[in-house]
Amino acid sequence: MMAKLLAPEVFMIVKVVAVFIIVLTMVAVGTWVERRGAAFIQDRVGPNRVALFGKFRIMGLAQPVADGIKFFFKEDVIPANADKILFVLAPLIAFIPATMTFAAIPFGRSFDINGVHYFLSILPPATNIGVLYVFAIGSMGVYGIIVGAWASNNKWSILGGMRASAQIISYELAMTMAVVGVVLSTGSLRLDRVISAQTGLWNVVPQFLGALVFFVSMFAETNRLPFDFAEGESEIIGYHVEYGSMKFSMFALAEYANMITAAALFVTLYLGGWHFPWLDQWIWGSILAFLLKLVSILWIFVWVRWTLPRFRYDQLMRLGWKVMIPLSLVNMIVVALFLAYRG
Amino acid sequence: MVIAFYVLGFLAMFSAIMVVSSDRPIVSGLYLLLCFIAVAGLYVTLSAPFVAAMQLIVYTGAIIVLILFVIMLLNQHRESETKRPKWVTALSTVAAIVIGWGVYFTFITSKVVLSYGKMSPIGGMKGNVEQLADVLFSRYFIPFEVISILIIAAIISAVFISKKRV
Repeated sequence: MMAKLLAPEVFMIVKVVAVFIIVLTMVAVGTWVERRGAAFIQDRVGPNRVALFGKFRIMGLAQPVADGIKFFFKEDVIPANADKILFVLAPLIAFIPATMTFAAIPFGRSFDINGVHYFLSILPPATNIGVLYVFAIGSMGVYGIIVGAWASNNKWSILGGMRASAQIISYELAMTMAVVGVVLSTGSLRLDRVISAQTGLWNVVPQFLGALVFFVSMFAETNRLPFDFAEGESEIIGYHVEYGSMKFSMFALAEYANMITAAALFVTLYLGGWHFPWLDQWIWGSILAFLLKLVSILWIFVWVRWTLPRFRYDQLMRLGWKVMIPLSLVNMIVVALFLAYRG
Repeated sequence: MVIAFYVLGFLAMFSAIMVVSSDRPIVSGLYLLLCFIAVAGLYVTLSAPFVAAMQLIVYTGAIIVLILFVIMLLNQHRESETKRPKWVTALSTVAAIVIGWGVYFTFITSKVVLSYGKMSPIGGMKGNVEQLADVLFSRYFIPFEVISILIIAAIISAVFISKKRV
C-alpha cells in the first residue's frame, strides 16, 4: 500500500487531491469559525441549530453544509442590464487564482525513501521562483472583483471595484517590498530554502518590521476588516451586490481561500514554516506544526475582524503610501546593510 | 511544448487583435490582460519562469489594473462612433503596413537573429535569477542605472504636471 502510494505520479496526484480537499474543507470550516467566533466575541451563541441527520448538533458544525445546499438551490438571477458573459466569468476569475496560489507552499519537511526525494508542496521547489509564483498568481485575484463590479452595471458595485483596485495596488507594493527582506536574508526565492534558513531563529524576530508590514498588508490584500472597502457591507455592499446563489458563494470561497494562502505565506516567510521545536523531527509532526501555525493566524483574521472598526478610505491610502511603504523600505535597507556588514 | 506554443501564440494574437477591434474600452482592457497572460505562458514554455513571473506581476498585476481603474473612472461604456474621412483610414492602414514591415525587416536582418546559432538559454529552469542578475549588474550596469534615473525623472514630471497650481 505505502509502496504504491510512493510512486512519483501517484504521490503527486495524492498531494494535489489532499491539498485541494483540505483547503476547501478549511474554507467551509472557516465560515463556521467566523460566525461562531463573531458570536463568541460579541457574547452571543451564534449558529448552533443545524444538526446532522436531525440528531447530532456538534455545535452547529453542519452549518456550512446547509449553507452550501441553500446556495445550490437558490434561483440564479442575472440582472437585465448586466454584461452577461463577464457577469458569469467574474466568479471564476476570482476563484481559479485563489485555489492555484497554494501550490507553491511547502507544508511539511521533505524526506528521502529508497534514494528518492519527496517534497511536500505541489510545485517542485527547484523551479526557483517560489515566492514570485505566489505573487504572480495572487495578483490575478483582483480581476474577479473588478470584472464582477463592472459587469454588474451597478453604481455601488463599481464603487467597490474601484476601491479594491486602488487598495490592492497600493498594498501589493508594500507587501512585495517587505518580502524582499526575506529573500535577501535567504539568498534565494525558493520557499523551501526560506524555511530551511529559519532553522533555530524564525524570521519574525530579526525582521520584525517586515513581518509587521506583511501582516498588515495581508488584511488589505484579502479584503478583510479593517480594510474591507471593496465590500464594506454597512456602506456600499460592494462588488458582489448583484450576485446571488452559487456565484456569490464562489466569491466568498475565493475570499476564504485567499485568506488561507496569505496566512500560509506568512507562516512560511516569517514563522518558520513547518519548523517547531521537537515536533518537526517527524514528517507528520512537521505537517501538524504547519497546520497549527496556519490555524492560529486564521483565528487572528477572525479576531481582528470582530475587534477593529473599518478605516476611512483616505486613512487607508495614507497608511499604505506614507507608513507601510517607507517602513518596508527601512526593513529592506536594514537587512541589506546587515548582510553587507557581515559579509 | 509545441502544442502549448501554438495554443498560447494563437491566444496572444487573437486577443491582441480583439484589443484593437473591440468597441468597449473595458473589454479591450480585459483582452489586453489575456494577451499578457498568454505571453507569460510563452515565457514558461521557453523555460524562463522568472521572466514569466515578472510579466505577470508587473504587467497584469499592476499596469492593467491601473488601465481598468482609469476606464472605470471615466465610466465610458461604449466608444462613440467618430466620423473620419475615408482617406485617413486608408492612409493609416498603409502606414501601419509599412511600419510593421520595416520593423519585421530590421529584426530579421539584425545581429540578434543572425547569431541565433550561438545563443544559449539563460540557465534553463534553474539558476534563472542568478544569471540575469549577473548580466544586469556587470555588463549592462550603466544602461540599467540610466534607465532607473529616466524612470525617476518621468515620475517626478508626472507628479509635477498633475499637481494643482495654486
